[in-house]
Amino acid sequence: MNVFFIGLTNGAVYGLVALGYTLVYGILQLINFAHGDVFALSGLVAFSVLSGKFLGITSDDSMVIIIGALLLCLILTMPLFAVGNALIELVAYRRLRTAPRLAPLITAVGVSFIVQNVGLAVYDVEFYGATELLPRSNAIEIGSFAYQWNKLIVLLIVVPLLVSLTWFVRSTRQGKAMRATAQDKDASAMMGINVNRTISVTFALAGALAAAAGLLFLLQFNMRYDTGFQLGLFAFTAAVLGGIGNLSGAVLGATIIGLIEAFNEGLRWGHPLDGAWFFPDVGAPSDWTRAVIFGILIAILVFRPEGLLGERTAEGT
Amino acid sequence: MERVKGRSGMGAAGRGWNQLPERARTLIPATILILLAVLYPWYHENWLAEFTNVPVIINFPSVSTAVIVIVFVIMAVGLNIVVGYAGLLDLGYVAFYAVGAYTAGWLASGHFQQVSFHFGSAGISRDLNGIHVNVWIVLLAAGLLTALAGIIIGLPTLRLRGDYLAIVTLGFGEIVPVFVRNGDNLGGFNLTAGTFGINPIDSPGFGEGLNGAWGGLPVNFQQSFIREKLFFYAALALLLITLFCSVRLRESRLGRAWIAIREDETAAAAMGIPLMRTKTWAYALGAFFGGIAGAYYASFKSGAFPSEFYFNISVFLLCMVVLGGMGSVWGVVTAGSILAWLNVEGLANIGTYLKRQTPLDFEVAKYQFGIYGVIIVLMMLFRPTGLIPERRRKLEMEEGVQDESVYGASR
Amino acid sequence: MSEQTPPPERAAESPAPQPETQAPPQQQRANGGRDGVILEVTDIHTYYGSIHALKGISLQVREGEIVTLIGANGAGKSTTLRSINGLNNPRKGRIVFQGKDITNDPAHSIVKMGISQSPEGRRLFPHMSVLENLEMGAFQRTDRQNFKEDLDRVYALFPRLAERKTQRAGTLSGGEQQMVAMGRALMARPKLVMLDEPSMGLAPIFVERIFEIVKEINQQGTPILLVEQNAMMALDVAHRGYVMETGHIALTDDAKALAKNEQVQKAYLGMD
Repeated sequence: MNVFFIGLTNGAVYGLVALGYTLVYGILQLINFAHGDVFALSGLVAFSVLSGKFLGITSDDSMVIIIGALLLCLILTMPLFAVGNALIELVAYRRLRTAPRLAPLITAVGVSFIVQNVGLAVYDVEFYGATELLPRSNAIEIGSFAYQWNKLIVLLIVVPLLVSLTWFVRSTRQGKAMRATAQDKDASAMMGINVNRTISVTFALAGALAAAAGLLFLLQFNMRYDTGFQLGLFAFTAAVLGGIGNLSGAVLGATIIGLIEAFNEGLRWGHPLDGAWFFPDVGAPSDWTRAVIFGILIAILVFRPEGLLGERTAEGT
Repeated sequence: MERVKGRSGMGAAGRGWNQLPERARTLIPATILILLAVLYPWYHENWLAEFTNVPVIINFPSVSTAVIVIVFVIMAVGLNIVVGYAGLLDLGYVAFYAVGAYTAGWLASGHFQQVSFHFGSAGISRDLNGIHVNVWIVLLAAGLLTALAGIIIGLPTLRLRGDYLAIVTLGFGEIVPVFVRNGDNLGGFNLTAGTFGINPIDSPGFGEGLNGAWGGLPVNFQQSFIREKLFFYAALALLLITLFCSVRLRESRLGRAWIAIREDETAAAAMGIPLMRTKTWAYALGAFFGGIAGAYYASFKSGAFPSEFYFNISVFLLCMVVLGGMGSVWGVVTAGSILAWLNVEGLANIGTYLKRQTPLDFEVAKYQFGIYGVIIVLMMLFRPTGLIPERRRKLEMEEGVQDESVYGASR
Repeated sequence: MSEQTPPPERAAESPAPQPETQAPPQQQRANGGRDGVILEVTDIHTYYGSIHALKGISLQVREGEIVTLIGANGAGKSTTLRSINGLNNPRKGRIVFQGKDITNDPAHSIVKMGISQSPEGRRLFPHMSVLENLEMGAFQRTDRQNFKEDLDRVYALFPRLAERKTQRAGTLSGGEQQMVAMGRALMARPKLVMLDEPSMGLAPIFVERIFEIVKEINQQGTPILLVEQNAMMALDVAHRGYVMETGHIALTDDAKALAKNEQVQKAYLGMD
């Protein structure tokens, strides 16, 4: 049961990042390789905000202060990375709108390395984490079912974010413009939609979500400048699993990926109790998590490229 | 190829140059380059090296650095077949490098202690256990096995659209190192020796028989006094073979099919080009050279270590292709040489220079991948055709391949 | 925007009509509103990459008119519309709408000024319902109170759409999709509607119906710039026509006169 909640919590973080991939892919058909690195950088910035020089929050502070500081941190980092991500689009991708598809994709790989190295330049190769900030005491406890504070905070932040995102995309004018632009840019322009601005807004949203994910990740794990690469790939896998371009799909996919990861690492392959009947004895399962998740990614892309919730179209997306 | 020099033709000399037949315009610079390359180790042994104390970079790369540079250039030329010719973005090329290196580890080392198999191995005692196949054969085997790996990866994935292909190859590029790192206990069987890697790996050579026959062919490179020179010349030979194949491939029927697919997949299919088979060939052939280079490098370093195979290598190779000009063999060779050298020692040298000569305290080498990232982005934004563009690619990039509009076709 | 568009050259300051272009019978000067001219296109040159697609197009649309642009495939008809609506700004020449220079304006502000379009191939938002598609047509409008009124007007023109308003646009038949596309263009309450190949790919019975509706929209007071390959039908409903050939205007005249023109009959109407 605990494994299940670890998976759910990780899945929530992946979900926020996966949404960024899916939003951008939905609108530009671009795999924004840099997104994972934007996430990692935002986590490091969140550390700076929370730690000594700025807010100086420690685990000794009262719960109210800690949560207030976390919210303040979000209020600072989310707009910052929203603007940052929109700037990335403006500088690196906009000029390549009509170039062959390969061009922006390669550019995205380059941007990924640039963002990563910004993190390297500022934060060096150290690991940072705020895993002790929130108490690990149980927030909810019913029988054997226990849910710790440091996990609960994740859901407390993710759920309102998802609700507001859904509201934004479904009901606002800008959200409608996003959906229309994702379906047909030229036709959207003919409706009077400012396509460039809509794309900027999409990148901004993705950046803001990544910043939230960065803070939440920081509360659970240690991270450094290159954490975003692998996490980004996991999140991208989640987005593809759910059906890329599909918002609820991204969240569903992320939850599944989080659970797979947690169960894979919680299990002892080759252990008589945990499935030696099925898994060969190949060492510690955590060594293989990456391979398992990429295996899933490849399998989905090959057998069901439209993902779980996506629709089969002529293009196969 | 004539555009290497032809375009820049200066005044009368340029005009005279342009009147030469195309074949000569290709052959003359190629011959000069090859001659310079052949003479390169000689430069290091002589007083010349003393006088070429170049500012910033201090000295031209050592012969052993040059071997590494050549190996990476071979890989870049291989990747260029996939990315440049066929327009398939491969972000997991490092997987092929790894497969090549480990093939060398399996077929030419004492890794499999449980058996003793010798086949034409040069300068290796018969008493040693393990599989010891002649390294020249191993290179070929590594190429073929890697090509097979390319086909296995390619068959299910090449149906996918370009960007999905990129991510799948990236996935494979990640799985292979994970596999290699953890492959020391596959149900009790040690396949990859885990994080220790496989070493020592045999080195190429010609064995006792040929040594006697041709009076002077080295028995075994590693044991020779002029080890580095031998590895250098063999690497150069491999590079020339690779270049020859690469250029011939581009001009072949298959090469034209690749370009057709790159420019317009639908139209190519309509012309009767078998998409899957053509793309798989690109993948397999690109992988082939990666495998050979990987095996040769493993043999040079006498080891295959999992820590060498990570995503950054794939991007590093991609950067060579982008900088040189996708599809342009000569561009990729130029850019590959420069970047590989920067990677091995150039950046470190520049960093030292900056530290000594300027108040800047900036560790250039630490940010090498950031620098490659900047190169990639700047090139794609401002000169997507690369330093030495391939003529056809240039047209595509300048005109766009799709019905152009402000927002791009989104359908 | 892959190529840099040079600063707009004010062609109107030095009007140099292309020799092969027959100047429209009306006056050349751009003067929005006077003589009822609502749209004045003067000698525009538009490129696709390095392809010179429009080589000096001039045309006018006046209040209350249906003007048709006919010509073979690839003559540049759709490109002309894309130049006007801002999706492919011309490199040279001038476009004036209601007295205002819109040559290099972006597409969305041109819609706001009152030019809306039903694009070639319909280009609906396939994952949105019919109603949502119509709503998208009114995207630039801020007068929510008139929205209902316009919706009723569209439903009156196309009763079929009222029945299907919750259906997803991607699942409609071709004729129904065309109705949505036209209705969507009208939802912007435009001062000029551009219809690009409204009859393309439709069954003959639908084609007739579409042209009746074109007339009806016009009679309600909206000028129309109609691009058609079906020259006979187009000349039948239009007041005036322009014949395009490979990036030029080859002929222009009264629609009736064009329909009788021997060249036109031979080339576009399939008559000997």
